[in-house]
Amino acid sequence: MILERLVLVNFRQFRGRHEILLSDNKTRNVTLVHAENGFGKTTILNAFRWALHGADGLTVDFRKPNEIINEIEARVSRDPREIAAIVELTFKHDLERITVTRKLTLAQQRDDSRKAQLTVEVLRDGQTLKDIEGPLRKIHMIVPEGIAKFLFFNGENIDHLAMEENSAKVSEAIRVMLGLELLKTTISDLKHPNVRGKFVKELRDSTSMEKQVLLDEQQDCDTEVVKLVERREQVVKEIESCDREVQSIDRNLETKREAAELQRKRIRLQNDVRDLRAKLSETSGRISRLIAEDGYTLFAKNLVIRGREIVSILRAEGKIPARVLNTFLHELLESGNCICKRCLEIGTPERAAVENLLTIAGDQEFNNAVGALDNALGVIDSVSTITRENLKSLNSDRLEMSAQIRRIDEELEDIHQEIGSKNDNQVQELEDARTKYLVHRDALQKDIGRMEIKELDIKKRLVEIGKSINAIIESEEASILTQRRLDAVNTCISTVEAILEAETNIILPFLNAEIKNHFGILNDRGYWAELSSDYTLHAKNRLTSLSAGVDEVIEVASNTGLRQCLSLAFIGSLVSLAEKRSEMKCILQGIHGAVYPIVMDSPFGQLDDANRRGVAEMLPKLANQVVALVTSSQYNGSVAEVFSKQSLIGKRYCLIYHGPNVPPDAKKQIEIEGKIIQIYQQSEDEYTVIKEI
Amino acid sequence: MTAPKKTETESERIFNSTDTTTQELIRVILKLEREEMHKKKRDDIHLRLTQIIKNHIRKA
Repeated sequence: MILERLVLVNFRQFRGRHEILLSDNKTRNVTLVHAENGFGKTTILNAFRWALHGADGLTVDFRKPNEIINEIEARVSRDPREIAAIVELTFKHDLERITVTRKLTLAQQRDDSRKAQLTVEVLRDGQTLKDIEGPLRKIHMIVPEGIAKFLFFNGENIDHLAMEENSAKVSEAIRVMLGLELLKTTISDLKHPNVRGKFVKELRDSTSMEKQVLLDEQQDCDTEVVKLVERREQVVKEIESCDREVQSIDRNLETKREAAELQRKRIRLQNDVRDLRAKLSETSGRISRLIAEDGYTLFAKNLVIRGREIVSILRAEGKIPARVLNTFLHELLESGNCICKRCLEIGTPERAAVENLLTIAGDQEFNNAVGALDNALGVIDSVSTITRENLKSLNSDRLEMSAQIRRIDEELEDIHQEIGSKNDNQVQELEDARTKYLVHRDALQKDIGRMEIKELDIKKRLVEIGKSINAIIESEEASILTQRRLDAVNTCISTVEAILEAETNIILPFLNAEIKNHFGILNDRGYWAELSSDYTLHAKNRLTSLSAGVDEVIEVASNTGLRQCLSLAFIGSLVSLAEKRSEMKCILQGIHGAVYPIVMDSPFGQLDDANRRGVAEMLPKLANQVVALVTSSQYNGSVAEVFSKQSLIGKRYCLIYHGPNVPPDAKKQIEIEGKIIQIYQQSEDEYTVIKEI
Repeated sequence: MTAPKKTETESERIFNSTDTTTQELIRVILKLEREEMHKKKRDDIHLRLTQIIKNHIRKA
């Protein structure tokens, strides 16, 4: 990325159109912009950042970031859609010339100043490609937002990089400048609650105690069924025992003179009633089957009548059976000959006559369907008659049998009363015992009925439990799958983290060599700089005293100036290493060397004179192209001396301030290279003009 | 997994020591990330990442 031109239109205090051509000369690679505090240095720095990354790219010390458009122009504007702030940045990258333009109209600013319009034009092989797809992506590929803050910065605030608590920023700078941010972003995305968290949530949701509870219930139900079966078997045995007792009593009663005849009659009646009950049960079964199979015919009478009416109408209208079939007529027309051997060629009156027959011809399938319907109506009608008669007969039998059973039951009750009333204690006792056993038997029989109902309920519940357990098992299979997916995410994260660490470790020795080299330029006290493994920048010194027998490396006490020098050396090293990136092995594809400029506001702000000289010496070596925005107080003296001696300045501009009063501490005129330049102009309106010198 | 080669860097060794599914997954994820790195809103990328993982890790 070699910067060529920056154009400002109504951008903040720069009213109207202004441009800065940036030096791309390799030996005179510094573009200097002289400006007093408050004239617009920070605005120019931010113009670069706004063009590339919009509102998100602005520095934190950029006041009123929502007011981008020149205040005077905004005030006098009649059409808020016409007046706009524009920054146009042109640079070379690889074999392309790229112009990034960001434009914000007053209407947009009033709505949301972040919604500036971005366009990117690419000139490649002599052809301009306008409105290229994905301008953001294009910019990101050349200068990601993360990089911009290390390339376009305020020199007075850069010392923070050398503070121990900011090691994360150093680590970030290494990653973004040397193409490893992709790995960090990947790790961050994979760890995000929407990715890893989603699988964790799925896993948590699918694991529950529900299955255990259901399994316990299933076991309880199974146990209950077993108990019921055992109990029923027991009750059946008790019933059999009762029956045996009753039979024994019956036999005993047959031997008693007083009761013998009645007892025999009772036995006979009991046999009769048993037979009748069996027959009644069979008859009830037949009635149920008959209703299930043919019962519908009893309710189809009206439908049969209606169906027959329709068939009659069709017959009366001559639609069935059809006098002539359309299939037959079509065959004749296709063959071209009638059955009477007449020719049916197109245009002949014979063909027309046959075609005319088609209007009254019937359809064979319709004929068949109506025939089938007519037949079905007949069948339903006859079945209905038979069913009605059968039902009547069976129901009559059922009622008769029920009546017989009732009568016999009454007779049996009479016999019971009669035997129980005999004046014979033994007979009475036997009859009482008989009654007791029968009552007990009936109670047992009811128990069986209750147990059968309970068993049925439990079995229904078991079916439901089985279904629920199967659903959970399916869910568990899903949870196993989710666990595998979660494991895969974690493996990917740990692998990419390990790769990122390994890739950074490859870079660190190269980076340390660059830092040592850059820091060596600005420091003449024998100090050297190091980047430790925990990403903190330190200046080191060797203490040697032969007489005292001392030879040790110590860390130089840190101050703002030293930290600024360390930070600049670090950034310069990153820029230098970024250019040589392709020389270092990297697992990632598409990592190649990239040339970056450095644009710095107040590079000498916090420095003492010695450090200013050092930074001035190092500044042109920080990058292939350096843009520095300096005040006269920062520049005059040692900095001016270094720059003029080495002829490093390719382009030089100054900012001319127009306004009612000169800002505090600002000069009205400055001297550059022996020339006096008026930098303040009295004016009612407040604005700044860029002037090349 | 493949046998380590003399010319392998440490990160290549780490990558090659993982199973083929992980290797393929990382390749696909990095391809997506490379294309979408510039986007500030990551919701769609997170969704696509989740889908990629689901597509690669299916029922055995």
